[in-house]
Amino acid sequence: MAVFNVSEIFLYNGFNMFFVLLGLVVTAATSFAAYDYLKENKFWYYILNLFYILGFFLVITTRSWFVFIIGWEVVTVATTFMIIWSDKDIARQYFLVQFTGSSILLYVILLAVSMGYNTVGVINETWLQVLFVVGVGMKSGILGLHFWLPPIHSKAPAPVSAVLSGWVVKLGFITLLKIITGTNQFLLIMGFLMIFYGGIKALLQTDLKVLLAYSTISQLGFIAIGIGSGSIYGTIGAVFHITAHSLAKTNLFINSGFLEKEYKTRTIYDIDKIWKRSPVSALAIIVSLLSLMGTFFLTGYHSKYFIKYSLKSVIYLKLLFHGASIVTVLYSLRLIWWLWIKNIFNKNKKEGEIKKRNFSPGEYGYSSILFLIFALFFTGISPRYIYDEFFMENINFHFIDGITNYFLYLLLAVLILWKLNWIKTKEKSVPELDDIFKKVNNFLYKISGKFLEYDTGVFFESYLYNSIYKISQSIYNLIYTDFQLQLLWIPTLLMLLYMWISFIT
Amino acid sequence: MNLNILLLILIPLFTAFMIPLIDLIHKSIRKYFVFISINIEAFVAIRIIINNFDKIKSSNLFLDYHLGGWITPYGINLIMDPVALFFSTLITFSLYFIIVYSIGFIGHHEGKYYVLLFLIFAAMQGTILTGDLFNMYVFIELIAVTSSPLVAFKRDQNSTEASIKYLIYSIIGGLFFFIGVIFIYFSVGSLNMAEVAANFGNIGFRMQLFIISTFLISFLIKLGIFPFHFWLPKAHSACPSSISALLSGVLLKVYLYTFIRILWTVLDYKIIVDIGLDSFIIYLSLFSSLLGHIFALQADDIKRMLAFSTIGHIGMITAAIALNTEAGFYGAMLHIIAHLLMKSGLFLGVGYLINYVSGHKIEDFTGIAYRHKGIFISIIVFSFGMIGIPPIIGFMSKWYILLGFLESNSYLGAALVIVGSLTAVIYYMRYIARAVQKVKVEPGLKNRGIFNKPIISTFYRERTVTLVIYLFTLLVIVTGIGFKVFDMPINAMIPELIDSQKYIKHIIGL
Repeated sequence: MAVFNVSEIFLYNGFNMFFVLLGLVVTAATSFAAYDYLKENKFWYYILNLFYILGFFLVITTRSWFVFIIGWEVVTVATTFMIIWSDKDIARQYFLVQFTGSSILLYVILLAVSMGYNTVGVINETWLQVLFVVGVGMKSGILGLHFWLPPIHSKAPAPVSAVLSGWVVKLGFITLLKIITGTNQFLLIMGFLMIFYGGIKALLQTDLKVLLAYSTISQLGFIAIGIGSGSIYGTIGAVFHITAHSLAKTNLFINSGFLEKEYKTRTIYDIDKIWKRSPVSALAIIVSLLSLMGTFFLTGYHSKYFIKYSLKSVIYLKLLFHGASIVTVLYSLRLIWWLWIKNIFNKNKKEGEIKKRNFSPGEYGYSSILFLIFALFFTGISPRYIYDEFFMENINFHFIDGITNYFLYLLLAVLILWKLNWIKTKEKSVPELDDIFKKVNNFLYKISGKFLEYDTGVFFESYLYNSIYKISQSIYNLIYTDFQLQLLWIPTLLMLLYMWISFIT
Repeated sequence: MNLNILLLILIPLFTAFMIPLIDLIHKSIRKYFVFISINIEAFVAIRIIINNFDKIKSSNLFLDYHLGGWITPYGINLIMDPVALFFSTLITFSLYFIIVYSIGFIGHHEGKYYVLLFLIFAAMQGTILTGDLFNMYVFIELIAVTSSPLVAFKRDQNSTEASIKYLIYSIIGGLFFFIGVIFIYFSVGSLNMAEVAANFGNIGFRMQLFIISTFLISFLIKLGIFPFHFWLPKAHSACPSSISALLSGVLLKVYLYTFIRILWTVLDYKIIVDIGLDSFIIYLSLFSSLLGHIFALQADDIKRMLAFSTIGHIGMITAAIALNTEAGFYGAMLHIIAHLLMKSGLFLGVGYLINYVSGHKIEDFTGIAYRHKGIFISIIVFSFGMIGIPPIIGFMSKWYILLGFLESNSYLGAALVIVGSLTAVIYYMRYIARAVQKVKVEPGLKNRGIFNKPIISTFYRERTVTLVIYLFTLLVIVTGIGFKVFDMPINAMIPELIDSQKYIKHIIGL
């Protein structure tokens, strides 16, 4: 049978293998860092990591949609089981959300297959492209389907958040890179919306991990713009930004876990003396944030530069992009300020002895952090290693142009933040997925003018499940009646059928 | 003439009538006798496959046996074509496992249990293999009559009620079948399926439609499609778990076979398509599927929940069959296998676990995962299959059913399949979440019940039961990875279904 013909199913070109390599680097760094972080079920964590690697390998390299969706589901199941030991409820919600997403994707893929697109590749119809964006949207946090991302990325254990935010969300965009070639207005608009929405939300957060989760949405917007712009520069920019963001965000999430263990809190105002208590984490956070801001010598610079270059023909998009870059700089600078700089000006605090450190990342942790920093610098200083892999064209760098822009952004951002007193917001509780459903449900009931009281905790633990239970029960009560009435269905349907027959003959 | 086909029916029938005699000698021999008998049955089934492997491969299989030596239009004949072979093999092997499970599982009134079980076995084989309409009706009635005492096997109020309801619906369903058979006999003058199929086009249009709709009602009742599904959850949840697995996993597939056989081979499906009745069947089944999944959401009894989920899946399969396309048939047949394996496995696994607690309500399910972790992992695997997670066979069948719907531009059907699997996530997750809650396991509880009685001194009853469940788990995964194995039998039967001329030519031309 031709089913096991490897060359028909898999495609090992430079593009695919680069992403496999990048995914392996990120996953390896995360699992190294997790060695001292995780306390229990280490063995199963690493086994699941293997499955996860298998999953994204299939997703990236395959040419067959069938294998693609298998890999996609393997990623879902593996990441769900990674979460399950820390919090069963979160794992349940995550699985439900992800399975919904992959079901939509399955529908879209089969639609494409039934239209004749038998292999993973370029799709010409714009509406089908948009459907694909929606299909991968649940996993990749496209705006509107992103609602699960901040609650779950912030509640999952740090190594898993690093995996989810660093690499799993990128799988959708890698797929979109393969299927979208021309300009896609929908993705372009979506990208800008995501940048501003995620960025402004991130500006107002006080919880480190929630902030990072919103920042993920914002940064994914840049990738979406790169893909949606349709030019070769946009594609290069998207590839660069996938690289930059996966390295930086993995690093940030790993370090957020380390900081949480060290300070026993995730509120950014309470983290102080970061240089003394966890210097390597401090360095990693700074470098990663600088990369996201688009600082020269780091990967983020090239990605921002190329994406901007791809938009240069349309002037208002370029202006919007400047705004988008400033938003990124704003929340990165704010985080840097609250984690680092505030202590320098804080004279009131006594220079007490540093207590014994609560947590040490261990040699594996340090080495993986340092490796990620090195990778950010390496890809930043010699970007040709990346794009020579894909593109033969010779591209001119206008290095100065990017640098002047960057300093302008920095100046503006510092001015704005200085004026706003570095945006110290009130502490909020971590968002819950159930609250979101609660809000939607209440909204729907408000429209209908009715209020319903739910007795939670009797059968279903959470709000969503309870409302589903109630609705299904009312449908059940509607249809299930007395036995005699049930039997009455038989003559009724029979009469209807016979009447219909006599009608058509 | 091939005696093997007759043996497939005769062996279970003979076993059923021999069991009371065996009991007279000594009751402990019974289980060995049962075991030997199902092994012989499986051996015969395998022998049929091996002897005719080339014919199956070239989609040319055709075996027949004339009862009493009467030639075709006058006597009853048994016929095995690719469709019958597919279903007969499925039933033989699933019943093999279910009976092995029963040896460990059923603790009381074993004699009656096995008599009834083997009678059902014989009746199911007969329904599938017969080439005569009236004979098929007799076998369907035999199934109804023998399965209702099994539904009432626990002899409490609930199961008796369920059994009576089941019996009423089955008899009404059988009645419509019978009316259809009578009208066929009056208008065609023969009861042989091939004869009827050859002459069905000659009778009046109105009569054709009348016969088709009467049969359709009968099948809708038997399959538990929406307005007639009320008997199903009750009957499937009241009986012992091995019987639930039989009814939910296997018996409904026999009715699916009769549905296909009558509407496609004997009557003409083209008439149904011409008058637009096919979209009625498709949308009714899809609606029934949706309702089944919604009902499963609110079921507070695990067996009832599984039965509602069966309504959902059977509706989906019926709709996919009624699409009348190759892709639809392929998906439906794959899902028949998948649903058979997964639902039987789920019922058997749940049946094992709820032996540790007093009932099968959701409250009893709390913390049940820690009673036996291996079995619970199997249950998780089965429910993942039901949801459609690779590499379990449920995913493969979901893929092909979706493809079948989308290729015939039935976007609503495809969407309902997706919605069904999404609701399945919720209701399976609800029970799984309940089951993994940590509770204190009282040490005394674990030793209660029937599992202490050994079959042979070294081989405990519990081990038989768990072995069968693990085997189903393994089968679900292995068939999921190697689902292309089913390509050959399914592709052999699809041309047979779409064009009934081959079937007619084989019988009448002999």
